[in-house]
Amino acid sequence: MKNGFLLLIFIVAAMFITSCEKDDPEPVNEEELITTVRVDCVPQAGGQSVELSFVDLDGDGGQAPVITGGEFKANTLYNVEVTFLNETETPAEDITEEVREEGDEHQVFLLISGVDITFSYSDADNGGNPIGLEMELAAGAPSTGQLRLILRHQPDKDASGVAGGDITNAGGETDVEVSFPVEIVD
Amino acid sequence: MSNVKAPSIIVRVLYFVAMVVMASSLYGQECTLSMRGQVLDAHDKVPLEYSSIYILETGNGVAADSAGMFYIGNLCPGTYTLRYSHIGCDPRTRKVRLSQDLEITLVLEHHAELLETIHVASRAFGQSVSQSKASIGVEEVARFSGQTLGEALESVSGVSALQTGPTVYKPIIRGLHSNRIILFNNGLRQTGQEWGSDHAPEIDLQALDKVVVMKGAGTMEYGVDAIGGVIVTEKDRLPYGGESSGKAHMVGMTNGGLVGAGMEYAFPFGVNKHFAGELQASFRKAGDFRSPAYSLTNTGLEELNASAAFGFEHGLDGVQVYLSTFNTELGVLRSAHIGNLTDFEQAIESDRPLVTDDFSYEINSPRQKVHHHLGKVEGKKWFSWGMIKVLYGVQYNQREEFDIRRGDRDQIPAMSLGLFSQQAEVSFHHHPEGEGPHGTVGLVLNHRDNTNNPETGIRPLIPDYAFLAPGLFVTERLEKERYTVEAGLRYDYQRLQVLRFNLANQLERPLFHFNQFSGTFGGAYEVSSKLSVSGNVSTAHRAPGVHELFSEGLHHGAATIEEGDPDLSPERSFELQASLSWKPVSALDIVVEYYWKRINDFIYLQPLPEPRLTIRGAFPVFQYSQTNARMTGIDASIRWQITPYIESVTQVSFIRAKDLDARVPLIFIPPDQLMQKFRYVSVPTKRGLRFDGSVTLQWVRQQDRFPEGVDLAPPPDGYFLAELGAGLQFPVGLQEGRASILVSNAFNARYRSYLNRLRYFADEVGRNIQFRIQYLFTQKHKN
Repeated sequence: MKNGFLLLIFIVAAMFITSCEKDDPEPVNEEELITTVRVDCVPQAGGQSVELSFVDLDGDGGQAPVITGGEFKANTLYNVEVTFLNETETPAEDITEEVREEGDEHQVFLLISGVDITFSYSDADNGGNPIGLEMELAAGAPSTGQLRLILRHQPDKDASGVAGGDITNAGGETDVEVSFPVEIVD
Repeated sequence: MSNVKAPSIIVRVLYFVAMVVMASSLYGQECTLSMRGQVLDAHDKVPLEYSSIYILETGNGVAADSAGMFYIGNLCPGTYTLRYSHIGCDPRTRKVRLSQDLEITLVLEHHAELLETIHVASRAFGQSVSQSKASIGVEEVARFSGQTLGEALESVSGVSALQTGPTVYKPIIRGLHSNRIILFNNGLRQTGQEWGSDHAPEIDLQALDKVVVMKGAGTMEYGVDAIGGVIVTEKDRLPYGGESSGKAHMVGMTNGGLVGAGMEYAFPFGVNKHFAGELQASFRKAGDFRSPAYSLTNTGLEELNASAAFGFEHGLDGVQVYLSTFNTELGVLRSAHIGNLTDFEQAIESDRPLVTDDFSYEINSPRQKVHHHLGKVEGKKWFSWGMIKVLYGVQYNQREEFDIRRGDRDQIPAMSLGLFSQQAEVSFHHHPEGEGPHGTVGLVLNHRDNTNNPETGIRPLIPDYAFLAPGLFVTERLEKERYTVEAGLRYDYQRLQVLRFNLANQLERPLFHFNQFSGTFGGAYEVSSKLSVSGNVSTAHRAPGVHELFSEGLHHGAATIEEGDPDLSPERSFELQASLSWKPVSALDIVVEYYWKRINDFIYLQPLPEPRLTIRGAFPVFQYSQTNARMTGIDASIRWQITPYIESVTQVSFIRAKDLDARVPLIFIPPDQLMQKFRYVSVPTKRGLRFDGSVTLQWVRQQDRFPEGVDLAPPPDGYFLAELGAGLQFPVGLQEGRASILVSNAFNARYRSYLNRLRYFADEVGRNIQFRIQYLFTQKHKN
């Protein structure tokens, strides 16, 4: 019995001593990170294009994000292309492709406040519902305000108004939500 | 009334005796011995009328008469396990060796909160006597089959549960939980990811025979940092030299379509039955639970647990091995997974969850998958001065949490942690039976190794670490006829090596050293046969946990960013607790417990004034900070034996907790509550049937003490719940069966609990009709 105890103590001591130091862990490769949102607006009739962007290269926390707004020309139609990137990778990973592939599970919304802008979707998923990676944007009278872009994951695209760009009944959860200061000038 | 009943009781006793005669005649041995005796209350030695006495080995029982007297005849020579109980008492078991006719006095504690003063041997290593404590036993374990440890402990005065939906229950002792309480599972400190408020204890309730809750900080043997208290789970001794026995249960519930089953079998074996073993397994599965108005989509679960114990005992010395495995997968309410603060606010405004689907057993993301494996070997050896106990245990806890993610990443965990831990302990228990002081000196070594699996593709919420903590404790106790005095000290050194990547993905290796001291001094005094008092003063010291030092990231379901602070210092508590037990008449039992606790450098989540702008929108940021806190409260219970068959139990709990620096109440403190229970138990009928019924009413007040502007929604309204139960105990041949039905939330009330983390999104579970069948069996070994 006594020898049994001693043996046990010995085994225990050995186990603790060997497990005292820890090996270096592997860093995590952040796959889903979105660092950059770009909204490229090209006038249909040609002219100065507008590039809105939100860039947060170190992800949540750390340095504050860099937000670039833009100036639209009054009474002009723009073709809009939305791009999501992970720029911590080289070359930058294009998350837009992933969103397009799962188009039926994603939708981009624009929420406009204070500025005379309307938009309509120009793309569609397999079910014929918009995804919102491509849109048409109409800039109206001169004004100033905010353009808020929201990417929803698993929205209810059949809910009332959602396919028309109204987020109220969309549900799902927000993957991206960024605001750009915008202005319409003559 | 009892005088009228008495003769019929005697008839029934005789009937039972006749049954025993018949039963034992089947074995055809010389079985002419008898056992007679009386059942008394442990404190005032009042006879406990109509107590039931049950012999596990023969599977038969008798009821005592109105003077607590009983007689069992025609017994064979041998060792028997008597299980005796009385309404309002914790049942006890006692081994009796029968070689000639025996006269015996059996004593019962009139309730669990009173001091353990009966069995000298159990007292010697028994838990603190100055500490407020309460326990649940095999009856409650059976009553909560299909449910969790946290749910069962909610019935204990002063204990509540931090919930995450209908399946995750984390015990709160007097307002404190997670890293502030210690779960001591079969002699090992349970190590999981206990920092997470949605991480329930990885313990199968069905594997336990007893759970003791030690409220407050007055215990040394379990850990240095039990600021809130300790939950100790225990198993009965293996049946060395005894008989095989077992039990099986099945459970079904209307809400969530829960089904469960389990069994346990204990058996002696080997030469002279010096060896014994026990095997146990349980299973449960549920689909989406339902609130009165809608389905709680994705709240199903699946759980499969098993345990095995083997031991050898020779005289008092022995060795035991225990192994257990706990495996669960559970869904988290679909609507509680949100992207950002805007989504969260929308969810709060909505009257019902944003996603409700039809009932399904399917478990989708978000979900948790947890495995917990435990192994332990323990030996004890007696000497003239006392006993040495040696223990070594390992645990491996694997936790994976799956989120709703883009791509096919739903199948890749968003959090994946493996925690390996070891515990070694040598303790010396001196002079357990002498007149002088007796106590325990123990040396403990704890080791933990936490590793993130990088497969997640997400920066880990808490980093990898290695933890090593040796500790030394001493507890001494002096027991005299009317009073007991006890004191204890503990010192733990802690070395914490953290391995983390900074934002530039460079490895950092911060190293921490903590010295922790705790102590206690207290006693118990029996003023008269009707009144006894106990109390203690204690201090405990808790070093900050890794999550408090290094948490970083987004908390889904709360839409907050939580940040650790590597400069935190340990928190220290000073506590005074006192308890009074008064029995003005034998049918009435009043226990009042009071506590006052101050926690210096109390670690809590402080909201930062500026929300953080991220690509997903703005999030409020909470940072682990320190303040000084004070908590006081009262737990009281009144037990009244209205008639020999009807018992009333009343429990009230109040907690007042304050942040002394900011002069505001602490957040998420359990609201005031009152519980009233009536229970009826019949005497056995001629056929050995026994009925019972219960009505439980619970009032919970709205919590009106909370800090303004921190929580995203105000505390929900108070509520009232009713629970109805009925049961039938019946003989199955020589064995015993029990069937019961329980209706929880009988009025299908719509309510939300302040302590449920998902209260922002959905109501609590509605009416649930629970059916249970239990079968207890003992088997004679042919020698």
